[in-house]
Amino acid sequence: MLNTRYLKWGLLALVCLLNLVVYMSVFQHGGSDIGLYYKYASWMGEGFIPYRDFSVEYPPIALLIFYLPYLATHDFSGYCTAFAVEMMLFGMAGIFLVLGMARRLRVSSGVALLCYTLAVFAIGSITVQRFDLAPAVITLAALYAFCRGKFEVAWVVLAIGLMTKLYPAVLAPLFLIYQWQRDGVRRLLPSLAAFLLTLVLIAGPALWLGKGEFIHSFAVQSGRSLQLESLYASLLLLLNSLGLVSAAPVQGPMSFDVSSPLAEPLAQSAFIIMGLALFSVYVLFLRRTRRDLGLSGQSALSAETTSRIINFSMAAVAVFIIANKVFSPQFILWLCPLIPLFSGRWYKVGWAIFILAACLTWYVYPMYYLGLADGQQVVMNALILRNVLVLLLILLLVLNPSRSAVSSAGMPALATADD
Amino acid sequence: MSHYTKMAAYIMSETGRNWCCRGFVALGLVLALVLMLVIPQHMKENSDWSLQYAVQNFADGQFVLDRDTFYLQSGEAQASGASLDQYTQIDNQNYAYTEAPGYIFYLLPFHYVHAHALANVLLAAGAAAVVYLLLRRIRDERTACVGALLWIFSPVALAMLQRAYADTFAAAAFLGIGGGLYIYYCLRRGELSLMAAYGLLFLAGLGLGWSVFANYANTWAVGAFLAHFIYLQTKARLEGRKKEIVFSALCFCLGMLLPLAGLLMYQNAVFGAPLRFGFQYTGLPVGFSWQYIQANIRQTTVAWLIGYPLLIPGLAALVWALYHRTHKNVFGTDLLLLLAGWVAAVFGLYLMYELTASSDIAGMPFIVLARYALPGLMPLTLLSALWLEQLSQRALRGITAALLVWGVIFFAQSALAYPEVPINPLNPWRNITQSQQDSLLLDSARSIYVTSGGVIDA
Repeated sequence: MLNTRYLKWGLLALVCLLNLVVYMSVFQHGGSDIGLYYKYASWMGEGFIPYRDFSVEYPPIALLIFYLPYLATHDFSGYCTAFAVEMMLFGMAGIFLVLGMARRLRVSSGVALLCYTLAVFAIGSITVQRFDLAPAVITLAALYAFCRGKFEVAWVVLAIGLMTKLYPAVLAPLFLIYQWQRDGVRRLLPSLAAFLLTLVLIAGPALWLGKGEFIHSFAVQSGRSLQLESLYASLLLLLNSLGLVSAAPVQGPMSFDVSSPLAEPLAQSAFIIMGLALFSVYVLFLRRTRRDLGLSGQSALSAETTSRIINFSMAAVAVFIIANKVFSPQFILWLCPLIPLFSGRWYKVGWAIFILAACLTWYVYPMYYLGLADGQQVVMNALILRNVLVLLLILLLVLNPSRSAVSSAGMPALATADD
Repeated sequence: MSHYTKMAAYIMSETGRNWCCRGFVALGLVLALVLMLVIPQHMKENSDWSLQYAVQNFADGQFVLDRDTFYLQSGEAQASGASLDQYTQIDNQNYAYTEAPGYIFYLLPFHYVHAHALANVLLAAGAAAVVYLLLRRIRDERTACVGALLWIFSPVALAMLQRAYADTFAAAAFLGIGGGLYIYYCLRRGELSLMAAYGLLFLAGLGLGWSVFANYANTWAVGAFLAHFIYLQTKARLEGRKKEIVFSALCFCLGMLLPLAGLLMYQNAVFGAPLRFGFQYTGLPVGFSWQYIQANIRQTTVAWLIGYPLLIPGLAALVWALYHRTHKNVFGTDLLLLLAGWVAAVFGLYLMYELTASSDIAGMPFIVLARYALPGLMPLTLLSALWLEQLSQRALRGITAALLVWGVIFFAQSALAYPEVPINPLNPWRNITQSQQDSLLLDSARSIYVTSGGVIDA
């Protein structure tokens, strides 16, 4: 027993050391987005107030994440390194949260840790070139608190996540459905109050200081065209390669987009498609949750329920990503801390699908992004494959049999003709 | 009982279901043929042009071209924006076809009846039949049906099936037929009559030998089969079955040596020595070396994932089966290692391929990068089909349908891809004009051969 404990701590230390080496020495620091973060941080350092004195397209907590490395160093090169350190710390926090959740799910901690490490490494340097690992880990923290039965804490953390990046909002209906089904509306009210209060505390000052600009920071994305890496754009490019529609990559104001007669209708429909897809996920979750009605009174959730909530949370986030008219490469980071917790019969297949999708994301950006913009077929096909894999992952997540059907290996062997 | 009720009862019976499975495979072949006819083929590489001219030359009895004839034919091809870069100079006056001639000799009878497309269709039917036979023996007809359809509708298989003037499909089909029959023999060794067993071995050897006759690079994969055969013979020797060793070795080697003898005779006639071959003269970047692995991992693996969607599940199933070798499995460790060797001998070999590692080829359509590994598709198909069969009916149907649709879409993409002519450093006419590219699109279905007697349409 003592040896096992030392082995586990040793493994954990090794993984943390590996992360340190990779984050600091292997991943390339810097990039254009870091330049933007540095600009915001330096303006804040000079006393300018965001939303009031300068417009910014990020929520308030994101600005805090940009500002923290600036406290350590004011020069750009040092800022890049400090930002990488910050992302590494978020990554390490993610490791501990994954371990905690793995224990609740009764899955092997070592294997979950290995999957998490592989997932982060597969995505590559973008892990330290964007801040998206931070909201991903915050979202995981919200899920961790929720699965431990600390609902108010979970809603507070979720609100912080929402004020970091918009996407954690997709988890709110899942939390809502579960708590409502389990304990009724009356006991849901304190959680909602905690959520709204946190939002008010964070967003209130920003709204007061720069109302129009603050709202604009959330609304700016809605006016974008079909971004080149989105599912819709890849579909148009595929149809173009078959001679069925006309579509071509173009340089847009914020990113590479796709130009096509169908681009505008698809961009306008994207929100509706996303809404319908998310609604389907929530309905499926509601139907599955109704089976847990007997848990009223228990604080922590069972492993089975935890597994279901994790899987559907992942599905909701993945739907948000794939149905969006923008699919920036860093969005794949949002699934990173969750994927090691994917449980059920096909969990290894799910891991493999995600890691392959992460590798293809890295292949498309930054490796061959200019080739994609030039319309090179192999890169375009890699993008199509990546998007198809994310769709496949969503299907696996929502159709995945429960943990009670888990085989010992997670993948069926080639049985004999006699079996 | 009404007629319809009787029919429904028959279809629901095991015999009826089996015939339905066979019908689906036949339908699949017909659909593949229809797709080949309906979707026009724009993609035509230099190697296709070279083979097209080589077929005509071989039909005229000209294995070696004199300089004047080669320049005439080369100029004609260049006018269409192509280059006969698979013809190489072997001495001051003469040019010869670089690649292995096995497919050309196979294609000749079809050339005489002006039915080139049927050559590959026949091979497709043969290979699909072998996949069906093998999977039916291992599992059941439903798995056999799935496996055969997945093999036919792999994007690269469909694309190369359509290209009658590319030897890739033939190389893969001969290897698949020979290799599949060999594995079938190994699985049924104890059940077959002596004549049937020896006949099977002969045909397996013939298929394997002809696969080398069609593509030199298949030598490594055939080597894996030879190694396994030696293992079987050694095992039989240790078990005291001497008579079996002699006759089985005789049949297998005879089958293999017939086409190889033809190859050696051809090489002796063309290059002056049996062991001399075209690639020893060419200046094209067609070597194999460890130094190209990194570039190929970057450039080619994604093309493989598109062209061979069974690559990942097939490899995963192979690794899984090897890992659980202490458990019962359908192949036995020796056959699993043979399958692993087959995959490694093709995919591993082409990870070291100089041409696909070249930066000149980086922006090409995926089929240009992926087609070479087609001979390694069959073991992946067998293993994937056995793994997929474990799923529920609904999941199996959904995944199979999705893979078939994937195959058709990316076949269409490769067929309609703009015919980029790979840059040939030896070709002074590298930069073809837009009008030449347009005429290439229009003229891809037509070919003209210039002989000393004038211009003829082929």
